[in-house]
Amino acid sequence: MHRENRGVSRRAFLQSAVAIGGASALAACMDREDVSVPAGVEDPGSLPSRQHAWNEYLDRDDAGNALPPRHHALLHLEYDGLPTDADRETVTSALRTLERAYEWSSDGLLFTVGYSPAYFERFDADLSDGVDLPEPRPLSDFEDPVLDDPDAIVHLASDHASVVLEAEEALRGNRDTANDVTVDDALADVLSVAERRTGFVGEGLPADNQDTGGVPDSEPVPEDAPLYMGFKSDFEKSQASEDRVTIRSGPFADGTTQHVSHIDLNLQQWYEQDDRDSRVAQMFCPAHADSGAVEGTGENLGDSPQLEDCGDPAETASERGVVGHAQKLEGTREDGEPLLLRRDFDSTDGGNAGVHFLALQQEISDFERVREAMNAADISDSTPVGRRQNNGIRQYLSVTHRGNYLLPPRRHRALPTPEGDDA
Amino acid sequence: MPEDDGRFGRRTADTQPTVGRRAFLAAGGAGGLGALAGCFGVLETEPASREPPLPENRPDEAYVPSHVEGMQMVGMQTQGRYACALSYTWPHRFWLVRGSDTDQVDVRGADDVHMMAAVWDTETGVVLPGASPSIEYTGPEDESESFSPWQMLSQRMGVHFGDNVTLGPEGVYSVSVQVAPPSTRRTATESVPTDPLTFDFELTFERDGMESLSYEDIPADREGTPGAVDPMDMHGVSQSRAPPADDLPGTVRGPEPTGGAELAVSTLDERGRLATGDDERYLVASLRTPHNRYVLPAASVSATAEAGGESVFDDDLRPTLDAALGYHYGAVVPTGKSLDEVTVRVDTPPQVSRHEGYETAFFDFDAVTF
Repeated sequence: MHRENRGVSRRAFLQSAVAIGGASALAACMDREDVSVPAGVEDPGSLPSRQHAWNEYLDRDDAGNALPPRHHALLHLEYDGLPTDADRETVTSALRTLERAYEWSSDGLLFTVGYSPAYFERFDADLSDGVDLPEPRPLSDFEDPVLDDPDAIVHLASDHASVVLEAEEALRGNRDTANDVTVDDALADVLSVAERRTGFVGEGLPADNQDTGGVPDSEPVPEDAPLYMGFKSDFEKSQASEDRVTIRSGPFADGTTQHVSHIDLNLQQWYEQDDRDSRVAQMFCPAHADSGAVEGTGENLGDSPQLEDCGDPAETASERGVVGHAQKLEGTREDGEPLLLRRDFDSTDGGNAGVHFLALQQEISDFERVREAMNAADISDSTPVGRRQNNGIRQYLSVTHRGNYLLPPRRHRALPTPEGDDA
Repeated sequence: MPEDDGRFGRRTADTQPTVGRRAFLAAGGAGGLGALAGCFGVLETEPASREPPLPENRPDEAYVPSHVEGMQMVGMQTQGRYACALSYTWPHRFWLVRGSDTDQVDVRGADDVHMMAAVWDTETGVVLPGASPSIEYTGPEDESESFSPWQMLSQRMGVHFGDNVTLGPEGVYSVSVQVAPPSTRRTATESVPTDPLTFDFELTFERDGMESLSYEDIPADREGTPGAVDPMDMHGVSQSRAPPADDLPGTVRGPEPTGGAELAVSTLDERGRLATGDDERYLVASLRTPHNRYVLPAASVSATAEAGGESVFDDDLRPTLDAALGYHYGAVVPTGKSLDEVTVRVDTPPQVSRHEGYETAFFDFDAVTF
């Protein structure tokens, strides 16, 4: 059970600092990272109207895939009563401080603020037509998730652990400055932080953080894997564009919806019982396993998981007894484009390997459609594929939390009304 | 676990004449294991597999395995119409199946037990191969782990869910088995509850207790020969045995051998909500193991049928549950005539994971015409 005693790697240290949080973690992290973080804009009004406009500001790999920021935090926030103008001004000021402090990029800070159905319930008016934001609910027959209902959620993301931590501390009112910019107002002056969740994504980080529940002691996570399951998933061509997920009209035009679930991973079977071909068949499709299409983490696939050759999921399930996760989701494309823009990341929250599955889509029902395709109930009822077993990667996942949020356009992100007004 | 709490207590379910595992090992009963006789210190701290090697020249059909181990029943519980039994035995090798490929899973050093859950419908007595439970266990040091055991087939227990599991320190473990009743099609008209259920058990893990589980080495002249060991006496736990072919309702044909399994076909004038009219017949294919008649789930099965010299059916059969037919593959055939000729094909072998003795069988099926 005891692994060889070894020093904590820099990457593992930085990730665990984010997981721990707070002033001392930040101090230790700044020492360790010692980076000069590019400053933000003088006029926050010059930033894109879409809070989720990140892609243009992310690094790209050789194949042109957007690389997500490596460190992440999600803050759950509560707000009492009806919003006042003064409170909106405080929120706006706190968020603009971050925009002045850090460049809008993964080298600086990318962030969004979202509001839940529970937040909008306090108003007499209904949420504007054109915004599909139902309460979260269980989306498969096995799950019994905690249905998250904070009023608001902030997603902080950066390649630098110290930036995520410092931004959080600034929002909490624990910092006088953020990247040398004076912090006048804190989000915590008007909203209270109910919970924080953290995580990471990108080459090396999952391997560095595999000493946790759900991962066998044999340290099986490949060193170059961006995610615990050992494969790349952010292929440009399997991601919706930001345009696709953007609300087109109404007061929340340029906004989007965000689904955030937390999923526990159990990788014992995945790494110690399934062989490589089975993992490829389950993650992509059996045809990919046959042809050896996937090398290593799948970097060789370029900007597309190349699922065109995978075949019809029901036929594959019937003939092969196994159906691929990605293969099942192909059918949910609309006009050839995926419905979800995934910005998920891994986590050790709760002492277990997990995923904060964060997805943006125009409507929450888009997410539900994709999840239904992943459940593949029609396939498991009529083919050898089980509801879990050999059904993509369902065997290894258990959903613990689900939450739905509206990410308003930047102009309405401070305690909006259902009609989209703010200060 | 107290003896008097209405569960099974420390009873070893085993019908074979047996000796304790430790005694067996100490006697050096299996060639390769004699060398371990002096290694009990290792055994106690590291109860990994001490399985004998696989029999040589395993036939492509059900065969008598190298050894048989006893099982510890942790308990059996009922909630509404569903029941769940939890048990464990020594960790052992098994085979995952994907398509026609098997992937041998060997015991890891850290594995403490092979944990098994069986789930059945008490009103029909039918085991639910689609139960797909997940199991969460919390040990004496409050560490929790969860996993989704594999759907498995063993000669002594039939269809169940199991996996080799690392527990940890000795002591009492609370184990909860979560089941979402499966949506496998049923012939019955009544609807069944589908709300998720949790069955809670207490498992006392003692390495010495493991030693007392029975263990029988099967002599070299018997192991690896076609056949199977007998089903275990499961003390009230429903087993996934198909009815004898003669007991199936309807006009029965077969059983005929195919792929090392047995296939029986029955046609019925009506069945529950599936075949109701004068112009419908219900076609049943019941695929089971030889010797023990365990149902073989998770296969792709299709059929063609002729009536009055005309083709009346050419389609897949679908996994279906029925109190009298058990788990079977069935379809409604749109004809009022009786079926003259039925041909059944197993297009994809049963994808159920296999315990030793079944891993070479039920892969290569010929079409059977009745």
